[in-house]
Amino acid sequence: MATLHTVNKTGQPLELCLRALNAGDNVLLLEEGVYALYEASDVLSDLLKHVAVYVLEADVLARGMTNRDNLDIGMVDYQGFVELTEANDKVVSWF
Amino acid sequence: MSQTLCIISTQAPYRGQFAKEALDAALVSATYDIPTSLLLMGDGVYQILDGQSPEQLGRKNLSSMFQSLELYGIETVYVDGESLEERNLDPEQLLPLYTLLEGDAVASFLAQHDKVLSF
Amino acid sequence: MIDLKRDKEGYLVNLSDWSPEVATQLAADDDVILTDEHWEILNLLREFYQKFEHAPSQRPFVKFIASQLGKEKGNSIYLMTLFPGSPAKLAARIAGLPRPTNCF
Repeated sequence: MATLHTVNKTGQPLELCLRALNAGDNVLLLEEGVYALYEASDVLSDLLKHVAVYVLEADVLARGMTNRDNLDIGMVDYQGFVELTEANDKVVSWF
Repeated sequence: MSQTLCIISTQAPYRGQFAKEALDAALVSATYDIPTSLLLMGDGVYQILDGQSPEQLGRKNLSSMFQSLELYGIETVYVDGESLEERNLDPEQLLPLYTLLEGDAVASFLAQHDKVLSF
Repeated sequence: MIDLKRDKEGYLVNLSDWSPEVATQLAADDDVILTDEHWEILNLLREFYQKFEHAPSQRPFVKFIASQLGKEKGNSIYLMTLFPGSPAKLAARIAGLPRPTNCF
Protein backbone atom coordinates (compact mmCIF):
# COMPACT_ATOMS: atom_id res chain seq x y z
CA MET A 1 0.00 0.00 0.00
CA ALA A 2 2.30 2.77 -1.17
CA THR A 3 1.18 6.38 -1.21
CA LEU A 4 2.25 9.27 -3.43
CA HIS A 5 2.51 12.49 -1.42
CA THR A 6 2.50 15.71 -3.40
CA VAL A 7 3.87 18.77 -1.62
CA ASN A 8 3.28 22.17 -3.18
CA LYS A 9 4.85 24.45 -0.57
CA THR A 10 7.61 24.27 2.04
CA GLY A 11 6.65 25.03 5.66
CA GLN A 12 3.51 23.36 7.00
CA PRO A 13 2.74 21.20 3.93
CA LEU A 14 6.23 19.69 3.90
CA GLU A 15 6.31 19.22 7.68
CA LEU A 16 2.95 17.48 7.81
CA CYS A 17 3.93 15.29 4.89
CA LEU A 18 7.07 14.15 6.74
CA ARG A 19 4.89 13.06 9.65
CA ALA A 20 2.62 11.02 7.42
CA LEU A 21 5.23 9.03 5.48
CA ASN A 22 5.60 5.28 5.54
CA ALA A 23 8.63 3.42 4.18
CA GLY A 24 8.17 2.78 0.47
CA ASP A 25 6.06 5.90 -0.14
CA ASN A 26 6.89 8.39 -2.89
CA VAL A 27 7.14 12.15 -2.48
CA LEU A 28 6.71 14.58 -5.35
CA LEU A 29 7.68 18.23 -4.85
CA LEU A 30 5.79 20.61 -7.09
CA GLU A 31 4.95 24.31 -7.42
CA GLU A 32 6.57 26.18 -4.47
CA GLY A 33 7.40 22.80 -2.94
CA VAL A 34 10.47 22.63 -5.19
CA TYR A 35 12.14 25.30 -3.03
CA ALA A 36 12.68 22.45 -0.56
CA LEU A 37 15.70 21.58 -2.73
CA TYR A 38 17.50 24.52 -1.10
CA GLU A 39 15.46 25.30 2.01
CA ALA A 40 15.15 21.74 3.24
CA SER A 41 18.11 20.09 1.61
CA ASP A 42 19.17 18.40 4.90
CA VAL A 43 15.66 17.15 5.54
CA LEU A 44 15.47 15.74 2.03
CA SER A 45 18.78 13.91 2.22
CA ASP A 46 17.58 12.27 5.45
CA LEU A 47 14.26 11.47 3.89
CA LEU A 48 15.87 9.79 0.90
CA LYS A 49 17.02 6.94 3.14
CA HIS A 50 13.40 5.80 3.46
CA VAL A 51 11.39 7.03 0.50
CA ALA A 52 11.89 8.12 -3.09
CA VAL A 53 11.65 11.84 -3.76
CA TYR A 54 10.82 13.43 -7.11
CA VAL A 55 10.50 16.98 -8.36
CA LEU A 56 8.32 18.23 -11.18
CA GLU A 57 10.55 19.43 -13.99
CA ALA A 58 8.39 22.32 -15.20
CA ASP A 59 8.21 23.83 -11.71
CA VAL A 60 11.95 23.41 -11.08
CA LEU A 61 12.91 25.02 -14.38
CA ALA A 62 10.38 27.84 -14.05
CA ARG A 63 11.83 28.88 -10.69
CA GLY A 64 15.49 28.61 -11.63
CA MET A 65 16.09 25.82 -9.14
CA THR A 66 18.83 23.24 -9.58
CA ASN A 67 19.88 20.13 -7.76
CA ARG A 68 22.63 22.22 -6.18
CA ASP A 69 23.29 19.83 -3.31
CA ASN A 70 23.39 16.69 -5.47
CA LEU A 71 20.46 15.02 -3.79
CA ASP A 72 19.50 11.59 -5.04
CA ILE A 73 16.16 12.77 -6.38
CA GLY A 74 14.31 12.02 -9.58
CA MET A 75 13.07 14.64 -12.02
CA VAL A 76 9.74 13.89 -13.67
CA ASP A 77 7.71 15.62 -16.37
CA TYR A 78 3.89 15.62 -16.42
CA GLN A 79 3.89 12.16 -18.00
CA GLY A 80 6.07 10.96 -15.12
CA PHE A 81 3.67 12.55 -12.64
CA VAL A 82 0.84 10.50 -14.14
CA GLU A 83 2.96 7.33 -13.97
CA LEU A 84 3.74 7.97 -10.30
CA THR A 85 0.04 8.40 -9.63
CA GLU A 86 -0.67 5.08 -11.30
CA ALA A 87 2.13 3.29 -9.49
CA ASN A 88 0.78 4.20 -6.06
CA ASP A 89 -2.40 3.02 -4.32
CA LYS A 90 -3.45 6.50 -3.33
CA VAL A 91 -2.40 10.11 -3.56
CA VAL A 92 -2.34 12.60 -0.70
CA SER A 93 -1.80 16.25 -1.50
CA TRP A 94 -0.22 18.53 1.08
CA PHE A 95 -0.80 22.21 0.47
CA MET B 1 -16.20 -4.42 2.61
CA SER B 2 -16.61 -0.81 1.68
CA GLN B 3 -13.52 1.33 1.07
CA THR B 4 -12.41 3.52 3.93
CA LEU B 5 -11.85 7.23 3.54
CA CYS B 6 -9.65 9.55 5.53
CA ILE B 7 -10.27 13.28 5.22
CA ILE B 8 -7.29 15.38 6.27
CA SER B 9 -8.03 18.96 7.24
CA THR B 10 -4.94 21.14 7.62
CA GLN B 11 -6.12 24.73 7.44
CA ALA B 12 -7.29 27.12 10.17
CA PRO B 13 -11.08 27.28 10.57
CA TYR B 14 -11.95 30.58 8.87
CA ARG B 15 -9.22 30.53 6.22
CA GLY B 16 -11.29 30.40 3.04
CA GLN B 17 -13.73 27.50 2.87
CA PHE B 18 -11.25 24.67 3.42
CA ALA B 19 -12.40 23.61 6.88
CA LYS B 20 -16.07 23.86 5.99
CA GLU B 21 -15.56 21.83 2.83
CA ALA B 22 -13.67 19.13 4.71
CA LEU B 23 -16.60 18.86 7.14
CA ASP B 24 -19.14 18.80 4.32
CA ALA B 25 -17.17 16.05 2.60
CA ALA B 26 -17.09 14.03 5.84
CA LEU B 27 -20.85 14.41 6.32
CA VAL B 28 -21.61 13.39 2.74
CA SER B 29 -19.28 10.43 2.85
CA ALA B 30 -20.73 9.22 6.16
CA THR B 31 -24.26 9.70 4.83
CA TYR B 32 -23.36 7.24 2.07
CA ASP B 33 -22.15 4.66 4.59
CA ILE B 34 -18.50 5.06 3.70
CA PRO B 35 -16.41 4.44 6.82
CA THR B 36 -15.00 7.93 7.25
CA SER B 37 -12.28 9.36 9.48
CA LEU B 38 -11.57 13.03 9.89
CA LEU B 39 -7.97 13.92 10.77
CA LEU B 40 -6.91 17.40 11.89
CA MET B 41 -3.28 18.36 11.38
CA GLY B 42 -1.27 21.58 11.37
CA ASP B 43 -3.46 24.69 11.68
CA GLY B 44 -6.43 22.36 11.21
CA VAL B 45 -6.32 21.63 14.95
CA TYR B 46 -7.62 25.17 15.60
CA GLN B 47 -10.94 23.99 14.16
CA ILE B 48 -11.88 22.31 17.45
CA LEU B 49 -10.74 25.12 19.73
CA ASP B 50 -13.64 25.70 22.14
CA GLY B 51 -15.45 29.04 22.28
CA GLN B 52 -15.48 30.00 18.60
CA SER B 53 -17.95 32.83 17.87
CA PRO B 54 -17.62 33.75 14.20
CA GLU B 55 -20.90 35.71 14.07
CA GLN B 56 -19.16 39.02 13.36
CA LEU B 57 -17.43 37.42 10.39
CA GLY B 58 -20.81 36.31 9.13
CA ARG B 59 -19.55 32.73 9.04
CA LYS B 60 -20.99 29.42 10.19
CA ASN B 61 -19.75 28.24 13.56
CA LEU B 62 -17.61 25.25 12.65
CA SER B 63 -17.46 23.92 16.19
CA SER B 64 -21.25 23.52 16.03
CA MET B 65 -20.88 21.41 12.91
CA PHE B 66 -18.26 19.26 14.65
CA GLN B 67 -20.79 18.49 17.39
CA SER B 68 -23.12 16.96 14.80
CA LEU B 69 -20.58 14.43 13.48
CA GLU B 70 -21.73 11.83 15.98
CA LEU B 71 -25.24 11.88 14.52
CA TYR B 72 -23.66 10.97 11.19
CA GLY B 73 -21.88 8.00 12.72
CA ILE B 74 -18.49 9.71 12.99
CA GLU B 75 -17.80 9.02 16.65
CA THR B 76 -14.50 10.83 17.00
CA VAL B 77 -12.17 13.26 15.27
CA TYR B 78 -8.49 12.34 15.06
CA VAL B 79 -5.94 14.96 16.01
CA ASP B 80 -2.19 15.02 15.42
CA GLY B 81 -0.66 15.43 18.88
CA GLU B 82 2.49 17.10 17.57
CA SER B 83 0.42 19.83 15.93
CA LEU B 84 -1.20 20.56 19.32
CA GLU B 85 2.17 20.80 21.02
CA GLU B 86 3.64 23.07 18.36
CA ARG B 87 0.72 25.45 18.94
CA ASN B 88 0.83 25.32 22.75
CA LEU B 89 -2.71 24.00 22.92
CA ASP B 90 -3.93 22.24 26.06
CA PRO B 91 -6.44 19.43 25.74
CA GLU B 92 -8.85 21.36 28.00
CA GLN B 93 -9.08 24.14 25.41
CA LEU B 94 -10.48 21.80 22.80
CA LEU B 95 -13.96 20.40 22.21
CA PRO B 96 -14.01 17.01 23.93
CA LEU B 97 -14.71 14.98 20.81
CA TYR B 98 -11.28 13.94 19.59
CA THR B 99 -8.76 11.13 19.78
CA LEU B 100 -5.05 11.95 19.88
CA LEU B 101 -2.61 10.35 17.47
CA GLU B 102 0.87 10.51 18.94
CA GLY B 103 4.23 10.07 17.25
CA ASP B 104 4.26 7.60 14.36
CA ALA B 105 0.56 6.91 14.75
CA VAL B 106 -0.35 9.41 12.01
CA ALA B 107 1.58 7.56 9.33
CA SER B 108 0.17 4.15 10.21
CA PHE B 109 -3.30 5.65 10.59
CA LEU B 110 -3.17 6.97 7.02
CA ALA B 111 -1.84 3.67 5.73
CA GLN B 112 -4.96 1.96 7.14
CA HIS B 113 -7.26 3.92 4.83
CA ASP B 114 -7.98 3.11 1.19
CA LYS B 115 -8.50 6.69 0.07
CA VAL B 116 -7.39 10.06 1.34
CA LEU B 117 -8.76 13.51 0.59
CA SER B 118 -7.04 16.62 1.86
CA PHE B 119 -8.46 20.06 2.47
CA MET C 1 -51.14 34.76 0.79
CA ILE C 2 -47.79 36.15 1.88
CA ASP C 3 -45.53 37.07 -1.02
CA LEU C 4 -42.31 35.07 -0.59
CA LYS C 5 -39.01 34.98 -2.43
CA ARG C 6 -38.21 31.33 -3.06
CA ASP C 7 -35.47 29.59 -5.00
CA LYS C 8 -35.96 27.11 -7.86
CA GLU C 9 -36.56 24.26 -5.45
CA GLY C 10 -38.96 26.21 -3.29
CA TYR C 11 -36.65 27.04 -0.37
CA LEU C 12 -36.95 30.51 1.15
CA VAL C 13 -34.33 32.91 -0.16
CA ASN C 14 -34.42 34.99 3.04
CA LEU C 15 -34.58 32.70 6.04
CA SER C 16 -35.84 35.63 8.12
CA ASP C 17 -39.09 35.64 6.09
CA TRP C 18 -40.15 32.52 7.96
CA SER C 19 -43.00 32.48 10.45
CA PRO C 20 -45.51 29.80 11.46
CA GLU C 21 -47.99 31.31 8.98
CA VAL C 22 -45.37 31.09 6.25
CA ALA C 23 -44.81 27.45 7.18
CA THR C 24 -48.51 26.71 6.76
CA GLN C 25 -48.43 28.30 3.33
CA LEU C 26 -45.25 26.48 2.27
CA ALA C 27 -46.75 23.20 3.49
CA ALA C 28 -49.94 23.77 1.53
CA ASP C 29 -47.89 24.09 -1.66
CA ASP C 30 -46.72 20.53 -1.03
CA ASP C 31 -50.22 19.34 -0.07
CA VAL C 32 -49.30 18.97 3.59
CA ILE C 33 -51.67 20.18 6.30
CA LEU C 34 -49.68 20.87 9.44
CA THR C 35 -50.78 19.11 12.63
CA ASP C 36 -49.24 19.15 16.12
CA GLU C 37 -47.22 16.09 15.11
CA HIS C 38 -45.75 18.02 12.17
CA TRP C 39 -44.95 20.98 14.37
CA GLU C 40 -43.15 18.82 16.89
CA ILE C 41 -40.80 17.67 14.12
CA LEU C 42 -40.48 21.10 12.50
CA ASN C 43 -39.51 22.66 15.82
CA LEU C 44 -36.90 19.96 16.36
CA LEU C 45 -35.54 20.56 12.87
CA ARG C 46 -35.19 24.26 13.57
CA GLU C 47 -33.49 23.38 16.83
CA PHE C 48 -31.06 21.10 14.94
CA TYR C 49 -30.25 23.95 12.58
CA GLN C 50 -29.64 26.36 15.47
CA LYS C 51 -27.43 23.90 17.24
CA PHE C 52 -25.44 22.39 14.38
CA GLU C 53 -25.48 25.18 11.76
CA HIS C 54 -26.82 23.09 8.90
CA ALA C 55 -29.98 21.37 7.74
CA PRO C 56 -29.47 17.62 8.13
CA SER C 57 -30.05 14.76 5.74
CA GLN C 58 -32.54 12.15 6.85
CA ARG C 59 -30.43 9.75 8.88
CA PRO C 60 -28.77 12.16 11.30
CA PHE C 61 -32.10 13.92 11.71
CA VAL C 62 -33.84 10.64 12.58
CA LYS C 63 -31.10 9.96 15.12
CA PHE C 64 -31.57 13.42 16.58
CA ILE C 65 -35.36 12.93 16.84
CA ALA C 66 -34.81 9.58 18.55
CA SER C 67 -32.52 11.21 21.09
CA GLN C 68 -35.12 13.88 21.86
CA LEU C 69 -38.48 12.10 21.50
CA GLY C 70 -37.62 8.40 21.62
CA LYS C 71 -37.64 5.64 19.02
CA GLU C 72 -41.41 5.70 18.35
CA LYS C 73 -40.94 9.00 16.56
CA GLY C 74 -37.24 8.75 15.80
CA ASN C 75 -37.56 6.49 12.78
CA SER C 76 -37.76 6.95 9.03
CA ILE C 77 -41.27 5.56 8.62
CA TYR C 78 -42.76 8.06 11.06
CA LEU C 79 -40.95 10.88 9.27
CA MET C 80 -42.13 9.63 5.86
CA THR C 81 -45.73 9.52 7.07
CA LEU C 82 -45.63 13.17 8.08
CA PHE C 83 -43.44 14.44 5.25
CA PRO C 84 -43.89 12.09 2.28
CA GLY C 85 -41.33 11.70 -0.49
CA SER C 86 -38.03 13.17 0.71
CA PRO C 87 -38.75 14.01 4.36
CA ALA C 88 -35.46 15.81 5.04
CA LYS C 89 -35.91 18.14 2.09
CA LEU C 90 -39.65 18.70 2.52
CA ALA C 91 -39.39 19.36 6.25
CA ALA C 92 -36.44 21.74 5.72
CA ARG C 93 -38.46 23.63 3.11
CA ILE C 94 -41.46 24.01 5.40
CA ALA C 95 -39.28 24.87 8.41
CA GLY C 96 -37.78 27.75 6.43
CA LEU C 97 -34.28 26.28 6.37
CA PRO C 98 -31.84 26.00 3.47
CA ARG C 99 -31.71 22.84 1.40
CA PRO C 100 -30.00 20.03 3.35
CA THR C 101 -26.35 20.21 2.28
CA ASN C 102 -25.74 16.52 2.25
CA CYS C 103 -28.88 15.41 0.45
CA PHE C 104 -28.82 14.71 -3.26
